[in-house]
Amino acid sequence: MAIIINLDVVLAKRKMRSKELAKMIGITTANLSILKSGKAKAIRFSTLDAICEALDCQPGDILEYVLEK
Amino acid sequence: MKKPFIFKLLIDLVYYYFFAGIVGVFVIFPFLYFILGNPKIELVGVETSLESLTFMHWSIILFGSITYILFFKGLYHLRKVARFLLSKKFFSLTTIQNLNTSGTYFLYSSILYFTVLVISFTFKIFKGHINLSFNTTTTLPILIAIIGLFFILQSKVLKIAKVYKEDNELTI
Repeated sequence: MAIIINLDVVLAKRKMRSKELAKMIGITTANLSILKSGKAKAIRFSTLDAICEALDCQPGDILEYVLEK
Repeated sequence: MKKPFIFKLLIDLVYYYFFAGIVGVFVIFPFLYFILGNPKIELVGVETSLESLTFMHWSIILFGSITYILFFKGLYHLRKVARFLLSKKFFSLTTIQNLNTSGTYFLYSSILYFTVLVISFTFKIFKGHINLSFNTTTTLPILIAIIGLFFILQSKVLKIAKVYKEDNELTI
């Protein structure tokens, strides 16, 4: 997929663990892991909203589009 | 959930009933032939004896046997589906494939059964007997075809649902 999830980068900047973030936004660590690994097929706006609020960032900080050749 | 249990139980009953039929034909029938001599047999309403079988009788026997085997195979695959439904694996690929296979076998068996009915009807006309009746004999192949087609369509629906389910599971 051409959409890359840079969640690890933002988590590192905020010095937050995945487990903490998962608890804050109300999803399981397994689902967060699926998101981080790029295996997710879709993300709900409600989840994106919760992540951005928890990490105090913009959707563009987490999502990046890379043209596939 | 009692319904999947009852569903499996009924399919198992019919399966073993048909299995007993196969055993009967290959084991008991030759045994009876040697004891009773030349017993009278009835093939889809056509009476005859073993020593006076014609081409028509043999075609009824052949198509009837293939119909029986196809229906039995359909039941075999349906048993597998029932087992998976009992363990709540509704969207398993095995369930979908077996449901599709079962439906296909039922459909083919209904077509062949209808052929057998047409052959026996034609045979009776040649013998001078015409018997038009409204009963389950004529509607049964249609019912089996409907069931077979329903299983095939249901397997397609489950296949689509499986994709939606997987997409939903990977939607965070």
